[in-house]
Amino acid sequence: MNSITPNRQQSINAAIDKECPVCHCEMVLPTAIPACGHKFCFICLKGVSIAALGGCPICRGPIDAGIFEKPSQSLNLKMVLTDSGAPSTSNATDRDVKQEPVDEDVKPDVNALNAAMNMPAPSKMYWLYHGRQQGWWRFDPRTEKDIEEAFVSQMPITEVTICGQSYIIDFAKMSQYPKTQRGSTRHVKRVDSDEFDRMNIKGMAGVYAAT
Amino acid sequence: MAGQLPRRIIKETQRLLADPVPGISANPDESNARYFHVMIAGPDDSPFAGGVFKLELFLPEEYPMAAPKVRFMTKIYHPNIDKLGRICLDILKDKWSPALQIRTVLLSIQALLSAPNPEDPLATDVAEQWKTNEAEAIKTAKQWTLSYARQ
Repeated sequence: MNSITPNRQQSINAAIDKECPVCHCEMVLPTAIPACGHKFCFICLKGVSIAALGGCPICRGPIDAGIFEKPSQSLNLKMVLTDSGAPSTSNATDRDVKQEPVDEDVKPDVNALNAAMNMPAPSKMYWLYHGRQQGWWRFDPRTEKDIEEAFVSQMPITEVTICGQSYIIDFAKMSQYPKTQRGSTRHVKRVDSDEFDRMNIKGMAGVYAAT
Repeated sequence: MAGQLPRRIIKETQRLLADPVPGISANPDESNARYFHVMIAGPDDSPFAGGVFKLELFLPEEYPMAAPKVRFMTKIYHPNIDKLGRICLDILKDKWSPALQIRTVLLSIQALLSAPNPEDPLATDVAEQWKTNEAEAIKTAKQWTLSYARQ
């Protein structure tokens, strides 16, 4: 069995790491290429592998396809992202911003506090997709956020990119299919925290939750 | 329906605008955030010094799993750039990596202006001239820069 993550990280937030060189967002399900150790989001690396772009994006070393077979990670299945997903400004501009004193009377934003601690807000909804054989997977939290935003704004469908492929989420049918190939449809589901706990979710974005 | 603009493209655009590369500007088109209007100043150490070259850069739907499409709009006398503005640069073709980005692509093109490589030509006639009579080739490149790439 291939180990797809370095063993050093065992915290509950192990599945969240610094910026991924492929999506330029906070890394989700950080996955190291065994040969060279360079790390990416699991679904970004899988997308690179599917696109056959000639190995590791950083050093062009080989990517062992074995890391995509039954991958598992120690992960908090209900994790939330610490970055809002909103684009951040560059370091250069951050440095130029004058530090303001922050002693104003600010009401704490519970959602923001929860997010800061990687704890889901009580009202958080989760998006799941059905496995090819059986059982349900959670979408990766960033894709989930896009889906939820489209759902809340009452769009009939939305388009998401997963592993470099475009998929359509159809909210009327609660299904997902590849944009270019309607045949391969999966069911999707929107659940609250309690239902999530009852469902024995397999893992996230194709990565099994290690027990 | 059109997909949302990927976060990566939004972030890259913001960083390009906030922290531009010296000698290079890249601005997204008002109606298409995947299409960039690019200007590259000819490097001082090159026959293109003093010129400002206009390019177009387009991020295909597959980006970053596929390379940006980049083309010179300004006429240029360079062995690796043909008369349609197409650029012979490995990272735009088979050596593309999703860890590269708009910034690094434009830096590579800027470097290509400083280091014409007639051994791997796209414009064969220009490359031939560059190999057989480099002084004459550089003179022509300077003339074209004056004629077509003046600010």
